Amino acid sequence: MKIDTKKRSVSLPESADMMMVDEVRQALVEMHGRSDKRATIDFSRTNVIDTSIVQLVASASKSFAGLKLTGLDGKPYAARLTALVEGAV
Amino acid sequence: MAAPGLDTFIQEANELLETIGRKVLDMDNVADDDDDELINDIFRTAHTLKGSSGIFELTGIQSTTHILESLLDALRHHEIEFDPVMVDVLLDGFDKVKEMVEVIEDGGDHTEVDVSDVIAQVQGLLPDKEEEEFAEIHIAERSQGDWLTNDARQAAFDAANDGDGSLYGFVMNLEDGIFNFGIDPLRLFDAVLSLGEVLYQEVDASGVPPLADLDPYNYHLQLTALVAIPTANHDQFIEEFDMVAELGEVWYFHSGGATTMDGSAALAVEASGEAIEGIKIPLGPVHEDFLDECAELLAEVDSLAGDAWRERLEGLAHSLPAMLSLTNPDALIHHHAGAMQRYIAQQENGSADGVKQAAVILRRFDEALRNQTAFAVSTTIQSTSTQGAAPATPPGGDDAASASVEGPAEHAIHAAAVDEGSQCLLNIAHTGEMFGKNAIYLPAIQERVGRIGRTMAVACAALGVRDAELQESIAKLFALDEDTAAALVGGALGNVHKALDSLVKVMAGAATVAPAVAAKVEQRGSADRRQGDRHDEKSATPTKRRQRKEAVFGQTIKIEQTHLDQLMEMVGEMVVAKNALPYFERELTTRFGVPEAAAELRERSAVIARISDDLQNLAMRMRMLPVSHAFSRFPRLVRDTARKLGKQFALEMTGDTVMLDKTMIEAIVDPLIHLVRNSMDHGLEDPEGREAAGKPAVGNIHLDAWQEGNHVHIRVGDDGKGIDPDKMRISGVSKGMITHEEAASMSDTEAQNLIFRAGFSSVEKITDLSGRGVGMDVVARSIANVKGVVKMTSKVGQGTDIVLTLPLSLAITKVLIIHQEGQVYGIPAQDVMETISLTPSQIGYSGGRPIIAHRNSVLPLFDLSACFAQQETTLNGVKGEMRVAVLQLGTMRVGLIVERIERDMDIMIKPLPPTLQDLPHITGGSILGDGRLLFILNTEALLDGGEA
Repeated sequence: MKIDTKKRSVSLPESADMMMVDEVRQALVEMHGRSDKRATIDFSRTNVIDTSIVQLVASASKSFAGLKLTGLDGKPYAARLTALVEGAV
Repeated sequence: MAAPGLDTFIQEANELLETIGRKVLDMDNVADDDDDELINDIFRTAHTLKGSSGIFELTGIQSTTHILESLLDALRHHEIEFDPVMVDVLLDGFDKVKEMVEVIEDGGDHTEVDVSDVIAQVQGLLPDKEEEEFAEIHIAERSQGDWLTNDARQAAFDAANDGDGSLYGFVMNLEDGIFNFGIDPLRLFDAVLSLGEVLYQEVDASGVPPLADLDPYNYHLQLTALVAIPTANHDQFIEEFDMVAELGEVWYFHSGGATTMDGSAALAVEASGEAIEGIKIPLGPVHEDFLDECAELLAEVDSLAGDAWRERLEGLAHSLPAMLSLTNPDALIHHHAGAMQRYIAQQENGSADGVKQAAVILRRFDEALRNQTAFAVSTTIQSTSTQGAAPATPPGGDDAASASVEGPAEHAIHAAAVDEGSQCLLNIAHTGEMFGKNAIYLPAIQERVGRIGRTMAVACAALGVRDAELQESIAKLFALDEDTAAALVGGALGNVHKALDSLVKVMAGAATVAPAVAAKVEQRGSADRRQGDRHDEKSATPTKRRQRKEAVFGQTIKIEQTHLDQLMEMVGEMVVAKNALPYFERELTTRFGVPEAAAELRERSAVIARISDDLQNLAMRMRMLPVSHAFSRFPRLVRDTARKLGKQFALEMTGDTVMLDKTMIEAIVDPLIHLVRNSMDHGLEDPEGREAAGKPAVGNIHLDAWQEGNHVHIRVGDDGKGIDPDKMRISGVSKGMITHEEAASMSDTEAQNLIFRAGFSSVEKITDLSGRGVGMDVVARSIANVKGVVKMTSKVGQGTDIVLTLPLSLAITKVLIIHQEGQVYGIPAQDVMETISLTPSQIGYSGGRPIIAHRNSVLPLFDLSACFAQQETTLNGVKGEMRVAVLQLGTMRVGLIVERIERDMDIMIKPLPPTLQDLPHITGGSILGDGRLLFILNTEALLDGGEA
């Protein structure tokens, strides 16, 4: 996992799950403490995610005015996450 | 081919079932205060069994144990009152599980064991919840109107082509602690969706809080879908939800109307919406005490001034690190405690105004812990995190390890560590169960087991116990990858479970904590000492004391019995080889003329003899088991038989820790069962009969064991009506076993001992318990086969005592070496009472047979050579002194005249070669130190022939 506080982005590893969900959450909370405008979660390296990550994305989308998800192309979970962030479901 | 590790499962299942059986019987006897703990204990053991069976996909055992768990669960949550009949139901139920294990062991299909009676019996005890409890899964069928709650759903439904009635709409609303079970709800959701064509799916995240409030380990989604599922997949649709049985609410509608699924699914009822009990984890004493502290503090919130109240709050903070370090990180309580710790740390540096807020948080925390439901304290924590608060201690990890030494008094740490170990076991059992259902995947298993390993490392460090085996088995589990075959994963998980089980037993037996811990505990302040005292009081409940007394576990390894047999055999060979040294020592002097070398050899021989004796004793001890292995079945037997006969018995057992060779224990079980049954069936009167005889209505049965020298005595006694010698005489004559004259000349004891003759039964009524006339003689013969002796004393109206006297071990036998006609023979030393010398003048005759008066009784004499020749003994013409071995054979004492008596010796008896096995007088052979062959006499057969 890679956290870039300047770019306000978190790049998730190949398999993102409960093992690192709290670490990601804390990074996002820290970013949120500085500004609640935008944050990016990068899934370009991530093949597998679990429910805790989906929840985290849903939570982050409620906290940041502009939550951006990148690297979703071709990922099996892309539609679900996009729908969550867009509030379509 | 059997799955890897199945043998281990069978062995473990048998041990668990034995434990369960013993504890279920205790349910009848324990005081009310101890009931909860006992039932919890049984529940946990049953749960472990269920989990282990899940690893091997033994669905029959899983489901039957689950049903029995339901009864235990209702009891422990006081949903039903205890009724003695429940003991019978549980015993019957676990008997069925044992039968299943036996079937598996024999390679059969265990699901063919009929458990319908067990189900019906448990259902009968849970009338209000029967369907809910026995639905294989907790899913409910509802109307489609319940599902069609918004336009999007309605549109999807309208658009669906439901010509064949295969449309299913469902809602998954799972418990917020579902992650703790290693279940990934979306993974399950996708698995169900894959069964058909997805027409609509909805991941409702409205319940997910914003980041600051999010506890990422709690689940907040609701999943909804509409799927067209082919008829062939209907059952699988239901089965997929099985993995979340009892962990939430799943309901569905089926557009085809009444469900076409199997009956088990139709049993489902709507979930009540109450908190799910399944995720609760029993609290240990540290947690319970902490909660008591919370309760006291809350009670004083109005009466204490702000500073005083905060001081008390800080006192609580002292207890938290220990509670955290000894808490399974998988438990919700761990998260709550971690949050509370952070909060209190902040309050210590906060303002007095925070006290009021602290009371609110504390109350919620207290409730959450007691109910083990989630609560959100994180908002407060986050909002105060900028006030320069002390850094939060992360749950688990190294900080937790160091925190453990700051815990309460050592006994509390000990008890808590054992309790946490038990909870980790429960957790692994859960994991195994989920894995058996394909409901959890390897990374999740590794994560959970890893956390358990860290928890145990902390607990072990606190107790100074080594956990290397557990950590090694965990490392092996971590070495697996997702491509590993399921059976291997199951086996590795089983090994972790086994290692943890052993570790918990070791921890239970660990009497002290590590010195460093004890020293630091000693340095604690008086407030903590008070708390320690309270722990002491609490932990010293009768049940705790009993458990600690029983918890005599050490570090053990399991060894195949054949290896022990081989070891014993080799020790026997060594004993024989050692016996050669004295001969060689003599030869050195007499034949080779080097007495100095003989003296040197004598010294060396003494050392070898001592080591050999020690090794022999050690090898014998390794084969020893406590007599409790034979005794443990009798409480159940007596209880069941009492019900069957309509009598009342009290069984008292003593000496069940006396050790006996395993072979011997196996040999005495059936005879003991027969003796105890005889006591219950024939010896002890019914309540009316006893009261008429002036005795208490409850008949007493004693089962005692004690050791004397190289023998163990086991007594089966009762205070029943005793054996009437006159009835025995009449019965003996009527059966043609004795003549009227013999009956008249018999002593009362001799008449009573007729009971040991083949085919004798003084009871007119033959029952299925005893009285078939094949009992006591078989008992006597069985005991004689293991070189034991049966002795009975009985008094009319007062009762009967039967004492079995058994050698400690069959492997090495002490014999008396004698010489006859140039050959060396051994007489089992247990048969030899003494050796005496006789002169012809001391011998008299009765009916032509030689006798002597010896120790106030008449001793018949037999000559060994005459016995070999199957001739009557005549001592005509014998001159000089004769050597006689006085033998005790059953109830008879005789004198055996031999040419020369040498000495006694430990030998290992070997079976004779086939060509010599027809010799009735010889039971086996051995090699003496000088190479001579030693034949072991079968004295009973020998004297039968001699008598003939």
